[in-house]
Amino acid sequence: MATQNQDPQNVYNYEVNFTTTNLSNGDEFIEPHTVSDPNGSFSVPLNFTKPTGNAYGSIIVIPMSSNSSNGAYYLKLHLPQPGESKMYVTFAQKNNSMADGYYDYIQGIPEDFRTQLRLWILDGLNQLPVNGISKSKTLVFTVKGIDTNVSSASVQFTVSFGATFGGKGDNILSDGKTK
Amino acid sequence: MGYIPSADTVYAVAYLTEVGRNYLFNETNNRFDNAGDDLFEITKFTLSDVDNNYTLPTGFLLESGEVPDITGKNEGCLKTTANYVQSNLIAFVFDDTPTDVEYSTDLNGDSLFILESDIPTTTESEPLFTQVSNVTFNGSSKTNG
Repeated sequence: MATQNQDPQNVYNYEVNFTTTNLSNGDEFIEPHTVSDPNGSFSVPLNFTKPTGNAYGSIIVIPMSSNSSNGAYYLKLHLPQPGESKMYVTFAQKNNSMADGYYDYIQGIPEDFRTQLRLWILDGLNQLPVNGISKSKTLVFTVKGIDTNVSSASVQFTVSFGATFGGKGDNILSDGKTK
Repeated sequence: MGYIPSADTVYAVAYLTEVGRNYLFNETNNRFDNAGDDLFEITKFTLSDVDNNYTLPTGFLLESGEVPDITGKNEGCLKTTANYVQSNLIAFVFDDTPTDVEYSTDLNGDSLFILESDIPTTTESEPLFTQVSNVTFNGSSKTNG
């Protein structure tokens, strides 16, 4: 029997909340929100899928490497559940014993995940300047309200993942670290 | 047909259709559609005299301003509220949805920055998964043969 992940708000996560303001009176208008697929400018095309399992709402998963088998590491985006106005970013492992196919890490990420996350942030870059440098990879989303549905008022927001590389003028090793 | 009695307090009674009750109790997880809309949300209602009996003699007919109760004496009357579309009645729609809105996030500058070094390291054990051609335990794979 498939195992259900914990509610994403109960595991290690990053949360984004959305609101709608009624400009005619300045009051908040309560409604659910919808978030677009991630996009952005990448050297390596962004790879993501939308699993259709028994998840807490719709999810999008982004692989950290070309490996997509059991045990592979993924970013998991929990899009707003029906009737709600928040999304979560969690860290997951491909696992076919889970209801949605991906196990949400509860406390953080394993070291192997960290290594692959750093390589994913580099976005295909295989050599860095002499001095240490911070790099980031940015996902762009668009959000709007479902009831009001005013596309012209939709707003973009970004989720960026950053890391610092180098510092000794060395090239990047295949494991994402530096000499 | 029945009359709402004349009194200081007047109660309006709403009857849910079978479909409405189904959405309310959500037994089949059908309350929300794919767009996230709450199908139980009452967005419009109608006033009508569908229970009015025009064959009654004068003196028993509804007079101007009176509204019939739906139940009357017929115990099976509620069955007449099975789901159907009324298209020839005046509808009153709750429509206070604003058209001039501003969407926003709770992020500073609408940007969330996740620094890899800020994410804690975990040593938790992932649930076991199965693999057809390989023998796999918690992410360590050994190929047969």
